[in-house]
Amino acid sequence: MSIGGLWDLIILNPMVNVLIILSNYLFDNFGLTIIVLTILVNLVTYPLTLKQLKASKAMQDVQGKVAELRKKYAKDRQRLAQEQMKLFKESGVSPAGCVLPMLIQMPVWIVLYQSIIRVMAAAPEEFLNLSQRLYTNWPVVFTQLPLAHRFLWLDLAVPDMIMAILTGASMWVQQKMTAPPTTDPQQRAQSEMMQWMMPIMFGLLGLTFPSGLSLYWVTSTTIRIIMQYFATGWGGLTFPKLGGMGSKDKEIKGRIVRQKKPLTAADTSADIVIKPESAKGEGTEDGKSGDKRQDGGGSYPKGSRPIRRQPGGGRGNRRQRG
Amino acid sequence: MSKIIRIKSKIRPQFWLLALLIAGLVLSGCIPGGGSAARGWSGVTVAEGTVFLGSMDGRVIAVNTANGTLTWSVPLQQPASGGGGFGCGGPTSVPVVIYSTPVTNGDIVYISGYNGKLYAISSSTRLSKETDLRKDDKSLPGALIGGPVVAQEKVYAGSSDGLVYALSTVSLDKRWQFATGDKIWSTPSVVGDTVYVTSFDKKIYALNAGDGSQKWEFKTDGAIVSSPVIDGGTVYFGSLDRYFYALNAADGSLKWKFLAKNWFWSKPVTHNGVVYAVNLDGKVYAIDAGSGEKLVEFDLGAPASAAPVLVDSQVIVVTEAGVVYSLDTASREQKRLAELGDKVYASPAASAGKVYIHTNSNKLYEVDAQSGAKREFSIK
Repeated sequence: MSIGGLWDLIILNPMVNVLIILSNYLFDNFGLTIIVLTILVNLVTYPLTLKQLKASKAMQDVQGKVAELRKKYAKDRQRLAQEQMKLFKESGVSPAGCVLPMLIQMPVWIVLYQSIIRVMAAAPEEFLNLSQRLYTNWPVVFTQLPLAHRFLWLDLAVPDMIMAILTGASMWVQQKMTAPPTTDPQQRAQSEMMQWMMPIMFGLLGLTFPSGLSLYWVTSTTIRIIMQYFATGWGGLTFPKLGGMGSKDKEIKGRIVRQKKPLTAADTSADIVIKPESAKGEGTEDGKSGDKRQDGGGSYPKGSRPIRRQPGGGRGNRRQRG
Repeated sequence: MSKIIRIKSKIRPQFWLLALLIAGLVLSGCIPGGGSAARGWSGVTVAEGTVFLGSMDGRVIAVNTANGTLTWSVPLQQPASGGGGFGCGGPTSVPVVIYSTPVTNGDIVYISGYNGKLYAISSSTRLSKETDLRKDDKSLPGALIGGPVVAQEKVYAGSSDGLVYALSTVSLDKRWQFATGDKIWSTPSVVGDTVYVTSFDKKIYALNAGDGSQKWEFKTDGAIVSSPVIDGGTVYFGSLDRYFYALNAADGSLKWKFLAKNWFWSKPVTHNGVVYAVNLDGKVYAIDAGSGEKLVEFDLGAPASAAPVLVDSQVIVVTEAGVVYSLDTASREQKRLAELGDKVYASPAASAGKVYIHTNSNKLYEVDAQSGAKREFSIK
């Protein structure tokens, strides 16, 4: 049997049948079925998601230090690698921790996507082929098809502009939350590209693909946003404060003020001081990271002050100034 | 070079994973069987030495059966939808997708399109007339998948908007319409003054051919795609609830039903008091027309969605894999006639001991029902 056949037999076909059965218990409402199944799959993969989110956050938190190391050992790549590994070890950060849970979850998301598109079966060929995926010992799956395509204002089998916009918007929010704070212009450019590339690409896909898929993307992204908020806070997402200045405005104003007068210790109260790279005393005496805080900022040497949370920045929102 | 490596090394692994995920999503939506677009599977009709069919590239085609040459072809075009997505700068018009089997009435060939239009083409002049069955409301998803049928100077067709239409054979003006509860993908059957039509609303309807009024209806537990066959006062059809049904044609009461393992998709054939029903479980069931008892089952080894065709005392059936079988109704022997090496969804037609089969690769084959000898006709 080919890999594709094995994938269908073990993974895709069970998901297709579960999707159809679930719609039977959810008032024959396919839209509701997509939402509920997406939530269920998210719950099942929640431990992995949490692990990945925390690992990503931890990785983001040491990015400032990594940038410093890069500057310091720009000409000695071997030393740079050593120092980076040392930093990761001391901070309890594992680069694989970000990637591995994502890799494990990826087939789950792909199969969920594939099963939704198969069950929707907009074209006659697709509907006909669906018959070969049904379990003969589950009679209800035969009578349940075709599933009703109407949900709210949507025909789930055809593209919908509003859903495409919602897909792009929700993905932008999620990307913004995951964007790492960085002072490296190259990384910042790359990060900004990611923030826009994903939402635009999925928004365009939403204009081409059935709106049932957009519903799945919007649901999935919304759940991820909620999970991310509870795990790591709003991250890079900032909100303008009504009737006052947003955090970005304050940052700009802070810069202007500092240009006018020399920086004093008092000024730093509204801003962020990055710890000197040579700072000692990071972590505990046994060499392991003693940092238990959400922002993962580590302990601070004398003379520096901890990061103050930005107004409206939410939990874990931290900016660094190089 | 080292600069390139350095830049690459700075790109976060998440970037590659997301790129991989997007590529996977897009590819799985584009590869065959993964969210494919409608391509059509027009069946074949044979009349007076000519084979008629709708090609996969949107043409109505007439082929001479004697020499296998293309007699004429009329392209059916529709405005491009604008598409969007990634196919920027596409054509202004595209070929009409055709699922229906054409039907002839004298000089005129009738065929319906996935664009909701019914076409009437003169075989002699190639002049065509068309009518948009969605003309009242263009937003309706009125794709025509089942074929038209001609009887009593009317053309009957079912639409994906759930309506059965009766049109004038000459002007294509609407005579009446009847609303079912869901899509119609089947071809109606007309016997006497009654039109029988099946619907996705799980019902079969018997309608008065004159004015479209309902005579009776019968509900199954599944959507119905199969076109009905009426023989000896009994209506035979299969449903997606996996049952094959026999109803009294007069009042729609149930005579018997027969359970198989998968959907009954295609139109059955009857011969000498036996109904031959093809199921998507890869089997053809020979069922006693009177009692509903299974007489024999033929294992095709692969599902068949094309309707079987009767040639003398043989039932010819083509699997989706393109294997042609001959089932002898007398000896109940199964013979592998030919392999087309191509997928087949379209229903074949037979004439003078030959079977004409249109494959999914837009090829037309003639297969001898006795010897299995095949020849390919040019329809380019």
